[in-house]
Amino acid sequence: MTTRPRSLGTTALALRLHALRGTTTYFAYLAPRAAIARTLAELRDDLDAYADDEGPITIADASSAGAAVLLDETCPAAADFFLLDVGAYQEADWRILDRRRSEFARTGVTVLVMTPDSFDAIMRVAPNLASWLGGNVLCHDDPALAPGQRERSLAGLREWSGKTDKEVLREAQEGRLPRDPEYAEWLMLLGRGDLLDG
Amino acid sequence: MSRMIAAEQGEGEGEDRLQRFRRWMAQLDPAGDPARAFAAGLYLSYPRAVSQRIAARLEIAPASTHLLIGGVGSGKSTELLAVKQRLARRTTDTRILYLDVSKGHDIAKVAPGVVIVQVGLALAPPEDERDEDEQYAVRTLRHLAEGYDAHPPDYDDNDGSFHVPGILHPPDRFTDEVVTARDAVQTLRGSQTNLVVLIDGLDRMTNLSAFERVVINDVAALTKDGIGVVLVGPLRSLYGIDHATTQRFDESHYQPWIDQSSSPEVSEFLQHVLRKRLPQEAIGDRELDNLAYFSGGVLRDLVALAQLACLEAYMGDSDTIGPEQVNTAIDTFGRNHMQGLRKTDLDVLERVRKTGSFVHTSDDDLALLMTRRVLEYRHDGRPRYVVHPTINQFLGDMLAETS
Repeated sequence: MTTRPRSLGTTALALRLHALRGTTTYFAYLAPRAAIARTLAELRDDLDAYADDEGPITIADASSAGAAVLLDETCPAAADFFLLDVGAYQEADWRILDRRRSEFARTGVTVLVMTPDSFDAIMRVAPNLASWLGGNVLCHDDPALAPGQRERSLAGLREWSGKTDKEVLREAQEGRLPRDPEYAEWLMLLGRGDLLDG
Repeated sequence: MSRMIAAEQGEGEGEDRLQRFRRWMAQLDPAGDPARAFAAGLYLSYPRAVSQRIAARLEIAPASTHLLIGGVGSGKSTELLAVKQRLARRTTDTRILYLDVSKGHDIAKVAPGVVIVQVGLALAPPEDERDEDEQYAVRTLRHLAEGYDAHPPDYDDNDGSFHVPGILHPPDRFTDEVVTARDAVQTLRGSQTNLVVLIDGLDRMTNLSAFERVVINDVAALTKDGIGVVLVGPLRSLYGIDHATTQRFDESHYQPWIDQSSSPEVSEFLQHVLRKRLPQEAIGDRELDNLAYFSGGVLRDLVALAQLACLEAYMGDSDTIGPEQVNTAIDTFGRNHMQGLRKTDLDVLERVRKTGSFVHTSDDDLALLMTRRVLEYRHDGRPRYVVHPTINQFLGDMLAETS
């Protein structure tokens, strides 16, 4: 039995974040160190897709070299969504953020993109920050990095729906695809995210 | 994705559905500002709430001092706001200040004077309403807080100035600053009959010696001038602090996690907390009860679980939060709280789960309490320990894997 946090791709995560717009919510999104910058960029693009539906959406992102710098020089951005690359954070950084949690507080949805080891550190040394994260911790499901995983995800979707890839693509092209988030993820896994705007 | 949203909006109910779920989730903000939840009328008073006792005492003795300690997510900040509300309703001659001293100041660098200086600055009227004495007092406090340039005694034009660092950063001397700040606070207090300050933010301090020095200096200085103080202290102080420090307060109060097994009234309270934020159309009573149980009586976890379940309902195209969404929320929450646990932690947790026994002899043990993997309840001052309900299901399997 695995106790790792659940996995989601950036598209599905963006849908969740979009639903939480207007709340004060903190997410931890776990990815390998080498993939963090790209993951953050993909998430930004996926969130940007909502901009036309509800008027402007403000997204701020930042790469932070350390918590002290973040707090002393960069005010938490006033934006609907704040995406923060904290891939470089060590235990000491999480201790700082934990005790200075009040300074870090902001309205809106904040996503901290970090490594799994970094999240383990939060759970050991930053109890106040961990309390804010609550259950909002997800692993990045990256089809590009793990081809085997991508195929397993597709197989799971086919089994779930009883449809083939071809059927899903045809329905999407004809505008008949159901609006379940799983179908959005399916199209992304097939590299046909363009059909989401059809 | 925009096509999916457009489809929802085109149906008419889609837009309503999204807005409805957003409204529900916004009322469940576990990391939101407690003041906002308070202002929105979402606070529910726990039976025999700590705020009731503290406010009643301050009403009679406005210069009394109180130490409030409790676990992460137990509702300490909210109880401070409740004290403020209760006192404001019952008294007309008492000014009540709420301060989070950790904002704008690193509590790892807390030194004597930090609290009293911030009390003084909070007392200051707007700049254009200050008289001469008040302007001087504020200037003094700012110098203490931020530092200033001084000259040596008997200086002449050839002597340069030197910088005296502020006490909102590590100072060299403390006592003089506290005395000076005290005078400024008295000026700014003016003719106010009673003043009570509610001090939040020090619960995250890890240096108990520094905490003790703040108590000995700042709290003592405020108390000498008849100012009531309610101060949230570090949870560690329950286990490591010198009793002489707690005895400097008239009373100490423990804000517990809520033990649902203690009485049906207590269990119902947790359900009422959620029901105040989620209508019957959103979630049924059985699911509420389930969320309440798996929260372990930790108020923030209760609200976080409910928000998670609400999000699952929205993502799964359901109009209500049902058992499946609640179970998914519990599973997700539990998984997250299993991260970072070492074999030794798992052994301790298993022992707590099987025997209820927990003896914190190390920082690692204390960390299990601080991170709410182990929950402590108290009856008549005696502790009872359980493992957080959301991680119970994973423990056995994790232990088997690590073995």
